[in-house]
Amino acid sequence: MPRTDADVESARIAVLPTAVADGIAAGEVVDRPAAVVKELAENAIDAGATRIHVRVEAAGQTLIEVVDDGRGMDRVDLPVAFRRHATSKLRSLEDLRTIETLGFRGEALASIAAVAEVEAVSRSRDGGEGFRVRIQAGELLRAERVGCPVGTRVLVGQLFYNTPARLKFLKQPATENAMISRLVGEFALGNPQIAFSLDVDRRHVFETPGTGDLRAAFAAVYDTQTATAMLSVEEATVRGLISPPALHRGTRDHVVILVNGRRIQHRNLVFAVEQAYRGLREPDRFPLAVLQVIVDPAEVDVNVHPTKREVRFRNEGAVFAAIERACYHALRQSPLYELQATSGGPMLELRETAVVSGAPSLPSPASGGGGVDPSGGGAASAAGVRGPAAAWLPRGRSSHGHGPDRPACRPRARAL
Amino acid sequence: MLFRLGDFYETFGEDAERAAPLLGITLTSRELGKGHRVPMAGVPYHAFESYVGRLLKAGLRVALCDQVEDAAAARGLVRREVVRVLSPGTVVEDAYLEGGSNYAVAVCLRSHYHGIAALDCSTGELALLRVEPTDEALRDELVRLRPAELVASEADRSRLLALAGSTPTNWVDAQDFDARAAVDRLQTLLGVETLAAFGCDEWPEALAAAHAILRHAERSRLRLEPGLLRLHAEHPRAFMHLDPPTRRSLGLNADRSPSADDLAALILREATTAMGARQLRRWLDQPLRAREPLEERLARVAVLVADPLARSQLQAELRGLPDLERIAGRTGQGLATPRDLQALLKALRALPGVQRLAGRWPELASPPSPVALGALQSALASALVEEVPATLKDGGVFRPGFDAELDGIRDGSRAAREWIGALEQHERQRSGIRSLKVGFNQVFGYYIEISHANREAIPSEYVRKQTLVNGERYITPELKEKETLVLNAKSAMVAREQTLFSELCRRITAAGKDLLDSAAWLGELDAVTALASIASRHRWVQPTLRDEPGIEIIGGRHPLVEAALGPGRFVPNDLRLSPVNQQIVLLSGPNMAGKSTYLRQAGIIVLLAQTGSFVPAERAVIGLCDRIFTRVGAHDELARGLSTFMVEMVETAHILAHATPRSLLIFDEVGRGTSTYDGVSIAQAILEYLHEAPQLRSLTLFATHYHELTALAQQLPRLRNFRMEVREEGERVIFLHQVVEGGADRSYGIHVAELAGLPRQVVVRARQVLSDLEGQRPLERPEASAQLSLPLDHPVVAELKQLDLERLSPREALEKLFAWQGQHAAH
Repeated sequence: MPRTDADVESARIAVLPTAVADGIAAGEVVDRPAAVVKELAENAIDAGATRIHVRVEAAGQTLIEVVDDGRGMDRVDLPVAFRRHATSKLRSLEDLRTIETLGFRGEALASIAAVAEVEAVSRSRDGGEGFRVRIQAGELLRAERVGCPVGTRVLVGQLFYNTPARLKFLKQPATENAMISRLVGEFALGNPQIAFSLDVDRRHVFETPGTGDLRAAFAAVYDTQTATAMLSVEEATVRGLISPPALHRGTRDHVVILVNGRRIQHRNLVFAVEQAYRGLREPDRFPLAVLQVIVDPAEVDVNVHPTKREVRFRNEGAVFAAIERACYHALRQSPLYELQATSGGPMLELRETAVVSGAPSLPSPASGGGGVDPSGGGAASAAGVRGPAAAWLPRGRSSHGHGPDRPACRPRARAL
Repeated sequence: MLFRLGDFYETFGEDAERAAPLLGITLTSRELGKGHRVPMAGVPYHAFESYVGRLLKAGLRVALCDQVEDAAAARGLVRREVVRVLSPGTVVEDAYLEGGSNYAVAVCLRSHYHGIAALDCSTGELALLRVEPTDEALRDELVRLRPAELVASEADRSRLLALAGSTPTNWVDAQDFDARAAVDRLQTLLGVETLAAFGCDEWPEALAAAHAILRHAERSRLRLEPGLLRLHAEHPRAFMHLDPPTRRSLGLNADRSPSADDLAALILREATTAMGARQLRRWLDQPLRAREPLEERLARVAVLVADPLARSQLQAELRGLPDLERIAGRTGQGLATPRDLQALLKALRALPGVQRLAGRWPELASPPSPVALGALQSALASALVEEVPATLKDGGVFRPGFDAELDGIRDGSRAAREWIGALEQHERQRSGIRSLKVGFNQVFGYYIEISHANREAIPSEYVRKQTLVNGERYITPELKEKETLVLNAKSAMVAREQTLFSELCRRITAAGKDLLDSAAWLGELDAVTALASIASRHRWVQPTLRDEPGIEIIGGRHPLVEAALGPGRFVPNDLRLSPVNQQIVLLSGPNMAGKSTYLRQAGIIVLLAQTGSFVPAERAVIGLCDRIFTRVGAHDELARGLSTFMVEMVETAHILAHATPRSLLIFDEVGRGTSTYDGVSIAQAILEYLHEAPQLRSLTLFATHYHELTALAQQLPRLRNFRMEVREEGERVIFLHQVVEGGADRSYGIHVAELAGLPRQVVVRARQVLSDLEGQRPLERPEASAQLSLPLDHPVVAELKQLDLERLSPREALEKLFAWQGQHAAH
């Protein structure tokens, strides 16, 4: 993803002029531990890191640590970074329009430091020594030299210690941990060229190799078998991995879309992916996907929401169509994989079925009930193509009253 | 000696007295002959392995004396024979072994060379070496091999006793060390005409040792099967030499046990099979000196680093594999169990899958799977049931339909049992006696029981056997016939299965060579996969190897310290050593600043590079070294009556005597343990010697706490000063852990003492004393010293001074010269 900061004037951090600061909607960015992780991880990515290590304890309330090997900050920049509206990534509102880095608001670090005990250690790649600062409730407690490698390490402890109200709003530790895991997983999938590693409560959750291979990153976040089964999407503006019809999950959470390298939440674009699967999935089962979408920066507005997760497109229809088309092609052209259980055990092994030749006339969702003649057409050949073992494939939840003559192209196998 | 007595293995006499406290069993006694009591102690048969294991760990040899004929059939005393002799170096059962190699080593002392033969009975690996005829050379190899047991000639006892230490040693007849007999024996066992291909045919010492070790194996009742023995000769010049202190300081001593935490443990943990772990251990213990095999190994690792997905698939395939080498070994000994064979079948089934996966890369290509293995696989698959029992003793190992005779026995037995089962019904109908019963007891076997009331209706062929209160019990000839069939069937079945099993084992042994070749390939594959895993996880890079001496490391890290500190805390450092302009790096600075870590990581990086592994650095260019020497850490060997300083000097002397221009020398704080003046003087003299002596010029890392030595840089052009960067903020000292150019200008000892928590009063006073001392008697800067000359207190010079030259005859003079040459040849 093109995100060099050669385009940004200089790496020095400077306080934004008030006018500019006002131009940015100040919102609440730090509402839960996952938000802290998100901000710190984005800073690390923007710093050009090749390795990012995330560690949390007690669901992020006791400790959140993010370590990176990016370009670091020198002793002048480090303390300034924690002041409100300080950022290295913008000089004027004009820059907002062509912004290519993930973070730019200049609020996050300050917001975090306002509600926690923060220790940041950094050493600049440009030379010089390591430096450490300690900040509590927005106040700089300590600043001193320290021996450390090039890069940045931020330790956030006792989050929300001074805002008990926000503590009460946190969910169960398991839920908060799950959010953090998913967040870091999505970062890892969106940035396969960076080696991400995540430890939760001393337990090693995953680590990606950082070789640039999306599939390898996927294997680390999910598992090797699933990764091997995923289908490649390789269009000019949409690239990534999507699941074969036989693999699905119970929620929409597993469709990860990145626009210009930025993870976004966009219901409609997720629908675009699901559309490509029409006729190939049950209504309550959803695909897995990681898709990098490239859009001209001038065509997309990122300053829509404080968390920068939501964006507005100049021409959303075009983006929608591009995504749907890319997924559709991938599904049609790749061999259809199936998961079949070997006899007598839960072990799954992959077997390739023959390519479904010709375009199956995929039924529209409305006619999903039984509108397709199971004996003819390309879609039906999928059933015949499955081979003798198909007969015992476990039937999916027949929550919609489908009988034995449901369309043959609906896969049966349970997801992992 | 353990005698089998019923359900126990018993020991007698002295054995019992020794065993009882060792094993925690009761010492009792037993009468033997008239009124003569003999001490006795025993262990239950079903649990004997754990007890024997304890005896072996204590270094004892154990002979198992089992009953060799059926107790029931015997007349008088049951015949017993020694069926197995177990000693720590000759066991092959998994119960007594850990994962690593287990060597029995024979040592042959001769004048030109010493010969060593190391045999791992459990895998059939036989390594022959020959070393310089010195105690040191022998000791170095023995430390590397970690033998479980030694075999040496009785004649060499006095010389080797100290070296053997606590290793169980068998002192055997000198005649066992017979090189010519060894050649014959090995040629037969390996099925070759000549040993020339192995490169050891000109090593009589090693061959003699080989014969001794083979004899020892035979005496332990081990079978030496052709095809299951693999011989390789190790040429010392091919490997980088690492003496025991170096091994220790670089962290090479541990095994796979999870509690170990040094470098070897870090690496060995990554292996997924026992074969792979052993191979990795061998690679680590013997780093290579030649560039080509190293580049080839590195290429294999690189390929697996680049494709993490395929690598994890490969590891998944390898993970389930059993220890093929050990199974083959046990099968050859006739000690395989049904589970062993089942594991072997599983491995054979998995092999093609692994080959296919690995086949993606030409670098990892495997030898084509020989036809023999395919046939073996079919044979095993058709023979064994799905879930074999642990032992043969109750049968049930072989499938129905595999062997006609076995099926016949089983069918006959089943038919007979069915007949008996149906008998009751049948006889009731036939005789009309409704209350007729068929039963079985231990005394009479099967019987037909009829109550007195029905006495009249008894068929004529019934024979009365037993009378009860309410009735009688009868047998019939046919009943007895069927009974015999059933009772004998079991033992007949077991006997037949044993025969079939032995045949299967024979087939396996016949395919031994192919099996071991495949096992070796799998072991290497696992080893490179393990190296790739570590490299990928810890961000190690591929080193560039050169033939010319010189080391350049950018961003080097100590793998263990880095892992212990966690991410983002270890400060990487560069290192440059070149014989041309930076031969000696003199590193000064306070303790606790990371000097030792820096020194060790240099050694570790070079070691790893020459093992064919990636290294923990950003970039590394390594000129291949012939040896790494370290003099690191002050470990007190007071137990051996040596002081710290003495040990230091002994090790330093050893280094100076053996280093070459291609060696890497690492000195950490030489001169500790003696007075400051002495220490500085010795350190300076050593540095000058390293710099000037033409046979040295070795690349050297020298850490010192004497900052006075930094002045040497002015007179020794290839010596450069570096220091561990330290910053002071007021009274506080901050360690930056960064190596920078320029020497330290002060010692920070007092600061470190303060950090360590010495009372404030002590620290303040120490500062006062220091400034006093520095004011009064500044430690003199080392002067530019004179040309290095023959030290005037050399023993030869001393003798020379004593000689009365006027009265010495030419002949005596010549003899004196010869004597000196002989004594001081090393110098």
